[in-house]
Amino acid sequence: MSVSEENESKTVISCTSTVDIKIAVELFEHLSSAIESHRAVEINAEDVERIDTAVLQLFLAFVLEAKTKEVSITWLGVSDAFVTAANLLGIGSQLALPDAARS
Amino acid sequence: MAKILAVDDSASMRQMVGFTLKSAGHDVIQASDGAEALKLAQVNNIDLVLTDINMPIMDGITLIKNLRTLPAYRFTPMLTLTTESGTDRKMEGKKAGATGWIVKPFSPEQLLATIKKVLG
Amino acid sequence: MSIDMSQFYQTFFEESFEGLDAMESGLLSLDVGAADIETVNTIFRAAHSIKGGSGTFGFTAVAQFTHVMETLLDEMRADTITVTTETVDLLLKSVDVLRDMLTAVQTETEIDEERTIEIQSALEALLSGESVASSSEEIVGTETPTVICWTIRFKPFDYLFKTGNDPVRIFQELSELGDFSVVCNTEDLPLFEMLDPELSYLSWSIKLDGVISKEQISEVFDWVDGDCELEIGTEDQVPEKVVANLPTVAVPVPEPLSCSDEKKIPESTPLAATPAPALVKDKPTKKSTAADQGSIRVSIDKVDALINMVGELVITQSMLGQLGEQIDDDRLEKLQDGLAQLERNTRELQESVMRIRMMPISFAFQRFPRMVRDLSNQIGKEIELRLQGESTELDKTLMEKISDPLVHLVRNSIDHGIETPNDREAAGKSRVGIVELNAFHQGGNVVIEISDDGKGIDREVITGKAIEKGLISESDILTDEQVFDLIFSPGFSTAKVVSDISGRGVGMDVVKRNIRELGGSVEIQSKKNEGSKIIIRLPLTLAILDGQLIQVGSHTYIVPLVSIIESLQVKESQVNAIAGQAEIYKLRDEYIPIVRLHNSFSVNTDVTQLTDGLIVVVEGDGQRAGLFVDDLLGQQQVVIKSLETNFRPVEGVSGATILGDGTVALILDVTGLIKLSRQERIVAA
Repeated sequence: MSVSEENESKTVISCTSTVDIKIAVELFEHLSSAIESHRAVEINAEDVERIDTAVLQLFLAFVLEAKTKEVSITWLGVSDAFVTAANLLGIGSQLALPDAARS
Repeated sequence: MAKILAVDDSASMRQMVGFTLKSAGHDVIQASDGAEALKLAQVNNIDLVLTDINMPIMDGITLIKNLRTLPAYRFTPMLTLTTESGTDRKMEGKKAGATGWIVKPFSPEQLLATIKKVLG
Repeated sequence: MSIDMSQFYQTFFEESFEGLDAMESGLLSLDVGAADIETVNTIFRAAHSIKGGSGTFGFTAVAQFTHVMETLLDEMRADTITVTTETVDLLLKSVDVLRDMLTAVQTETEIDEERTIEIQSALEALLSGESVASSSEEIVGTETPTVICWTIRFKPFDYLFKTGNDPVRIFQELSELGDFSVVCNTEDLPLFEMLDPELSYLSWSIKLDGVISKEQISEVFDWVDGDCELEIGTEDQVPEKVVANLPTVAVPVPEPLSCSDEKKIPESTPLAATPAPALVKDKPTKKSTAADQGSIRVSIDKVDALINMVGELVITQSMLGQLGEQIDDDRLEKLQDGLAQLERNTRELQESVMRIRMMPISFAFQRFPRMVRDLSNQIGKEIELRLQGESTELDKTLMEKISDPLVHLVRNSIDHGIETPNDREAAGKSRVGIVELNAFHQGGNVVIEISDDGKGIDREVITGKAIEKGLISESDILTDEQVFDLIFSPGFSTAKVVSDISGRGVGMDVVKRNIRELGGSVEIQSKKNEGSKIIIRLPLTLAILDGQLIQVGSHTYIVPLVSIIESLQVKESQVNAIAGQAEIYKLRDEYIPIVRLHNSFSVNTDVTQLTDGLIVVVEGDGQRAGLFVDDLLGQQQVVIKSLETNFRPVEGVSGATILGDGTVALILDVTGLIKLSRQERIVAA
């Protein structure tokens, strides 16, 4: 996973093919700082092949928080694997994944 | 695909498991006891640990306990290979931090199916 | 995809036989009053391994039998069954049965069902009433063809991820069973800032429709059993909480095994009611299996190929060495230095490579404790076996081939050497007879001594028997050594060594022949009433031979030094010609046939007059002969090259070698030559 800050106002998170609990803490820190600094967040999950509950749970909590704090989240792309996993956990709609992807 | 650490004091078991997993495209590292396995785990990035329980020097239960204390292995799937169909051995493994178990004897197909389940 | 497992059988058999050996020596060393826990564990592990492997590879009968043994051993190490002589004996018998079973499987022959069942029943009886947990759990619950709508409530405990489990994978499996739909419950999900990314907070309610049994569903959750809340039910029922399969009493967890090699031997055991100090020997703490440290398995073919290549290298080096002697040049000194270096390197390499095939003789000795124990019980004698020099190394093939002769010789000592306890007592000896096996290196040989403190050999008895059989005449004067040697004469020992372990009755003559075939020798020393000692000498390796080079015509041949008695110049007066064909030479008291090698091999030579050449007196298989040769050349070590890959065996020739000058020299087989020349004489008659 790589994170870049394009400018003062947004954070882009690009997920690599494997995003799992091993990077959960790191991801948490990036998401936390984005919320604290009220930056918009763009997430690219196009390349994700393996993802686990810990990361999905994290994204879910983040999405819920972002809503209350009015931080914008944009999904730049989501892989099929990402969507399948999210749907298995029943959180696809709550994550507000792009329309075409939702089951 | 994945790097698997296979630990068993029986050479024929290691061979069979190694061959089966390699033919499915995985990278297999073998060890014949827990102590050797622990060392190997520290110099390799293991994605999955398969270990027998009864082994000399360091048994499978202790191996798993020790692996779980290593930062890199806090969440790694670890399965015990047990011949007991009774519950206490399986539960001992879980208490030590194992993810699950495979009951011996198992066929290569069963092994691969279980691995697939765990690695996703 | 199906994988052919037969490629792993070889290794499985090898390690299983090794495991059985380990079990056997472990059982033999168990002290009935104070069983060493580490030993019992080792025995258990060996059985456990064999059970696992045989099950995996589909050898069901073996797995089942081993399972019963393993269960018994498990009880022994848990101390719920006491270690008695009967249990040890029964387990020893089981090891035998298992060995036979594995051999039968390996050679694809029939297993002795009756014996297997007999021993297995005895094992089961010992487990007395405790049900042998062999059958796998029955799958309860019938599958009806109707579709059931299941509701599953699943809430993992917060630490679930730390076991390596993941709900995504679990749900994936569930979704494969039927129609899957899920609702996620986030009520326990904390505020983002409070979240620990490594803990689990979510829970789920799942609907699963299909022809699915409850067992199938709970099986999917097997691994997380006890790490979550789980309820499985149908729509029309209140979902039942799935009770964790853990018994509510604490599962007995044995003491965590420490990683250190030492295991403290329990000072007091619950079994020692009345301590019997006389029987409990002071055993040194067992070291971990030293043989396993830092070793690898190599197929013997690879080793032999390597040895072959080194043999070629030796020949090449020797050829170069010879050439080096013939060159006149300033650079000669440098070349000679180089060649000398090459010779050293080659010799070192050769020695190293030969050592690969060497193994400690303990492998051959290890069958003896058991054999001696069984035999002494059988015939009612008390025997103490002592093994010395177990780390002495010899060639693996030699060891395999010397094993049977050793058994016969030890049995002989026990049968005929050691007296009954009463006889011994009457003779002022201790009731327990001592048989000692000793091995050491001497010169270029491995020496194995089998000694006993029994009644020794009565010279008179031997000579009497020999005269009876016409082997010697009454007037013959023989040294002690020669008398004892008569024991090895064919047809001498009528008391065949009967055994039920090897099942063969073999005479001492066969034993001697076997040893000779290995290039070795055997002799007996003995003192009446004090005991006997059998001394076996074997070459260190089968691939090298100490040879005497001989010249016949323009050819060079090699006679194994071990076959040569002496060499001498022919005295005309000692030569007799019988009926015009066979020539006999009178050597002191005996007459030996002369074998004209130039005739045997049809070689042209100028040396046809016996007095112009030399006679090499040789012995093969109890027969002596005098080989007539042109001349004796040097003695040297030669590398034996087998001819059998390209040629049919030729009587009289056992192999060949390449000499330093590049010529091929045939190595003579003395026994074959003698036979050949006798046949020629008969034909010529």
